[in-house]
Amino acid sequence: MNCDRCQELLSAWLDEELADDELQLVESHLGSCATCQRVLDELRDVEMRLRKLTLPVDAITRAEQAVASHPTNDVTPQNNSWRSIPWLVAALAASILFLLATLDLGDQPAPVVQEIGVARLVRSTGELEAFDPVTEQWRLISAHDLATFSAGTRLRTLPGVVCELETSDRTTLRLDASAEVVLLAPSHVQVVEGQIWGCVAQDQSLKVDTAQANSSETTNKTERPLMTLSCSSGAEWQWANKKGESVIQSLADASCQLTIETFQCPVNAKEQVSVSPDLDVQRESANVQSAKIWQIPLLAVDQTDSELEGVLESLLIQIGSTKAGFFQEQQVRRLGPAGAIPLLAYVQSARSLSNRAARGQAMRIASETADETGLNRLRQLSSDEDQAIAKYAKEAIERINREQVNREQREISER
Amino acid sequence: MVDREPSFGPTEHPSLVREWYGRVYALCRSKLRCASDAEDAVQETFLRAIRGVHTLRTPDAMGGWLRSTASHVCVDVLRRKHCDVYEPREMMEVAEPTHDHETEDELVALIHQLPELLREPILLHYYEDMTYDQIAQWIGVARSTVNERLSKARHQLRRQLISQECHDEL
Repeated sequence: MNCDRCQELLSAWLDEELADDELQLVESHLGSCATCQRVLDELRDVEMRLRKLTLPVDAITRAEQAVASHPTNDVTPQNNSWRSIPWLVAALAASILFLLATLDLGDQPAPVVQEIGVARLVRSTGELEAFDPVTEQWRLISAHDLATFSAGTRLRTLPGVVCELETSDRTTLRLDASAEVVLLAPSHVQVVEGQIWGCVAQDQSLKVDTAQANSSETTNKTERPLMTLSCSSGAEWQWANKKGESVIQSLADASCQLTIETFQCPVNAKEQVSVSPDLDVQRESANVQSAKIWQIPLLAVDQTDSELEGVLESLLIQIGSTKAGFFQEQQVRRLGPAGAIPLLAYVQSARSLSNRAARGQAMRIASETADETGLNRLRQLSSDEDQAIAKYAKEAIERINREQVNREQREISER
Repeated sequence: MVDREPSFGPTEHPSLVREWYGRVYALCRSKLRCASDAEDAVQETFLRAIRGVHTLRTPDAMGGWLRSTASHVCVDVLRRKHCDVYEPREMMEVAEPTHDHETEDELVALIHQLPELLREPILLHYYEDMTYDQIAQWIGVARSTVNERLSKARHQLRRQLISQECHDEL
């Protein structure tokens, strides 16, 4: 162990948060290094001073009293079933909202985030924005906000953010980065920009059509032809509006019906239809595996999501053996460290042990794209029974540590 | 916690204010240098919590929601009051602060010389005596990230204090 590494670990040593192997290495080094011992003494001095940090006297009591005396403090839920409350209200109100949505209320969407809604935010890798018609401004919604959206809400993800919504019909919608939709009703969504994936719930249907960009914003967006996709029960579809072209895919066995202006254009099972602004229509087979690569960081938000393992396995089997697999690997690499975490989680899963080839591919890619957010998993994998996996993990740890040291040295020299 | 009623006021049982106060205070204090503003921000966070607690999907989501609410409250405070000025309350009582007489405000002022990302883990560790895993879960980052941030914060504070002592000796 060198001095740089030892000094990186001294903080955790003071907090008794080191793993046994690191503890032994640090203590062994301290026993023979006066420099690191001096640094430790200086850190102890910092520690002694910081130990005086305390909460303000009686702050908690003051807060409790302020809260107790607040006029709305008698609001408690009537029903202790946490999951049912918002959706009981939404189910009752959805029919009313649908009627309101069909009235001519002008172009302004309804108020943004309310307890009653046609869709709710399930999970997200970052922040989204919802358009507030009152202030005519986009309002930030955090990944942790338990937001529900009312009919007419215009919603968009920030760059690099992927999110999942569930309508009150239980249809799932996922928005790729910088995507924008309008939620008109539980069974009616408009795609403004970007890429959206959806899976229609059993016994439900969904209408997806095009919308123009917000007229209050300056835009040079190309006018698209009017298109409507009608999806039936169980349909899995994807719609991407990029650079004027619309690409619609049916990803499961159910087909969807696409209407372009006035003519019908079915999208058959596992087929892709591309529509240009001048109504040129191209058909080809849909690449079902590629369709979900962009969703990988989102699927990793819920650590118990078995869907993630299935998606990764079907991708990894192709990587290294087919031309399509080469392009898919590039797409996964472009996810960067956000894609490395789910790959490492797959390598650590019991399921991967029965598929050594896929496990190896996942580890190879993750070892090259992971950053410090993956260090914990990499340390665990560095003692994997599979020597190849352990080697990849150790090499990745060394690379990340080296990059961290280089970054710190650059910061010091810049100061 | 899962079975407890969502009461925020003083009750016979330890209230949720008491349970979450330290963590929310550390977050607000990492963003607001003024102690009184941080305390006001924490109270406002819990008041907003009352109004929206019944929309939670599950009590386990309370932490993330309080965190998000507190962040928004701090942004509102900073916009309203432009409170970016350090207001020592007790410093004037001591001519030359030594380690023994260092006040909480002075310590927080020292911490505010760190980048914002590094402040909260330090404050959580000392206000709440949280483990790395607990801090990681509250902030929503990897345990290794907590380790890295605490280490960087302590080393930067160490260098600041050494530099300060050298300056005092000149």
